[in-house]
Amino acid sequence: MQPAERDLSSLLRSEELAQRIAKLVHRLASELAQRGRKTVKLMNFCGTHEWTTVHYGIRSLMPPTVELVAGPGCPVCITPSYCVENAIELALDGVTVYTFGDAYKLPAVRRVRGARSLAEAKAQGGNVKVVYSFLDAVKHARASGRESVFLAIGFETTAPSYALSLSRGDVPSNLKLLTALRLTPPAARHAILATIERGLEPVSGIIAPGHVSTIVGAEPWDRLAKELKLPAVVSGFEPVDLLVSISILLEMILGGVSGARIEYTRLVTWNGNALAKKLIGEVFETVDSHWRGLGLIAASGLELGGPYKAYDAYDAYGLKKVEEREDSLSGCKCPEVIMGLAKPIECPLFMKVCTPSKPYGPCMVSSEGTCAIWARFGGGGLADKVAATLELGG
Amino acid sequence: MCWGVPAKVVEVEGVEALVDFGGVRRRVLLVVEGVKPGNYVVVHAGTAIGVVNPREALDMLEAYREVIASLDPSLLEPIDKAISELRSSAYHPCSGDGAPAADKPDTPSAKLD
Repeated sequence: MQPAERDLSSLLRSEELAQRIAKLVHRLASELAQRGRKTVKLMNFCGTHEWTTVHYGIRSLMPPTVELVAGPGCPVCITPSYCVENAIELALDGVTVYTFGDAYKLPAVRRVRGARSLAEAKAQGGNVKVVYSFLDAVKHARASGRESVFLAIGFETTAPSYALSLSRGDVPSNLKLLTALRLTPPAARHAILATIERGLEPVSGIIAPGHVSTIVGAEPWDRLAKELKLPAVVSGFEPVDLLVSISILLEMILGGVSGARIEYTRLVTWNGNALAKKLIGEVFETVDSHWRGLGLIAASGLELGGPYKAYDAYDAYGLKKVEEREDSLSGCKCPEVIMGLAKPIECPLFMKVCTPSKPYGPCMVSSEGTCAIWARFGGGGLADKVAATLELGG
Repeated sequence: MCWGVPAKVVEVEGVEALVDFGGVRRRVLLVVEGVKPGNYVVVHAGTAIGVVNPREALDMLEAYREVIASLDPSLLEPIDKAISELRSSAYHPCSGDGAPAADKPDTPSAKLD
C-alpha cells in the first residue's frame, strides 16, 4: 500500500485539507453571490450527516450565504404513532414484540392502557424484547414457538434484512411483521416542495444519504434532482466528505447542473446493491405511506406483498392504520424539525422538558434524531481551528 | 438506524456470517454476494450491506469512534482494538490490500461536467 493512500483516513479529518476545501466553499459562495444568488440552502436526509455536521461544527465553516439544513433522515422519528400504539397493545396482550433498541422508547401520541412506549409497556408486564437484528428475532421466535411480532421500522438500508429472511422461507409462521418501512427520495421530494409551498427559502441542493444509497444507488437521487432541477451529491460521513460534497454542490449550482454525483465512492455505486434491490422488489410492494410529522406521502413506503402478506401483522391481528388524525405531541416541534423547517433550539421544549435522558418528542429518542444530535454534541475542535485560521469568528 | 459499522468477517455460512467488531462477535445476514472470511463488511442493523477494503474500514471506524463511544462507552474498547489491528495490518508488507471478492461495478462517479 502506498503511503499516500495509507494516510487517507487522517486526511479525511485533516485540518489542512478541511481549510482548503472550506476556502473553496467560500470562493464558490462569493461567486454565486456576485451572480445574485444571495442564499444557498443545502438539505441532508440522514441522521449520520447531521451528526457529522453538528459534531465537527461544519455550520461554523460555512459562509453566511450557505445554510445547512437537516431534512427527514431518521427512520425512528418518522415512524407513525399508530405503529407504536399497535405494538404496545400487542405486547400488553401477551404477544412477544421484538424491537430495535432505537424504537424501544419511541413515544406514541396517546397512551395505550397507560403505556406511551414499548419501554413503558414492558414495565407494566408487557412482553417486549429488544434485539440486535431481525435475524436474532427470527431465531428467538422459532425456538420459542410463541406468537410474536417484529416492529419492522427502517429506510431502504434496513428493508433488505427482512426481505432476505422472508424470501428464503426462514421466518417461522408464528412471527409477523408490523411494518413501518419508508423510502427516502419521496420524503426528500416532499420536504423540498414544502419549503416552496410555505414560501420559505427553497432548497438549492441535496446532500443524499450514504447508506441508503449503498442499497438504492445514486440513480433515484439523479431522477429526483433532475425533476426538481437541483444538484444532488451522495456524500460520505467524514467532515471532509461533507465539505467536498458541499463544494461539488456549489460548483453544480454555479454551472446550472442538475442531477446526482457520488462523492461516497467508497461504498456507493450508480445502481446500488442489485441483490438487495431484487429482494426488496420480491417481498414488498410500494405503497402510499404515512410519516409522522409529514403526513401521507405517495409511493413512499413498503408493505409485504404477494405470498408474504401472510406475515403481515396488520392483517393477522386486524390492526388499524389511523392516518387521518394529528400525529404530533402537544407543544412539540418535531414535525417542523423533521421537515427542516425549524431548528431544535426553536422548540420551546428543547432541553427544558425534552432531553436525551427524558425524551418527549420522537426526534429526541433516536440517536439519529436531529434534536438528540443537537442536544448531545456541540461544535467540534476541527471546525473551530479551521474557522479561527480562516478568521470566520467561529 | 443508519449507522453502518465495519466489521471483519470470521466465517461465512450460506447467507449468514460471523463478524468481529474488535473482539465482539455477532451473527449477521449477508445481502452482499461473494463475501469471504477476512473481508470487511459494513453492518447495518445486523445485516452486511456492502464490502469495503481494510483501509476504508479503518477510515469509518476512526470517524465513528467518538459517536459510538458517546452512545455506548462499553464499545470503545473493541473499536480501539479493531482500529489498532487495522493499523498494524495495513503496514504489514504481506497483508496486501485485502480487496473484496465482490468488486464494485464501474460507476459514473463525481465527475463535474
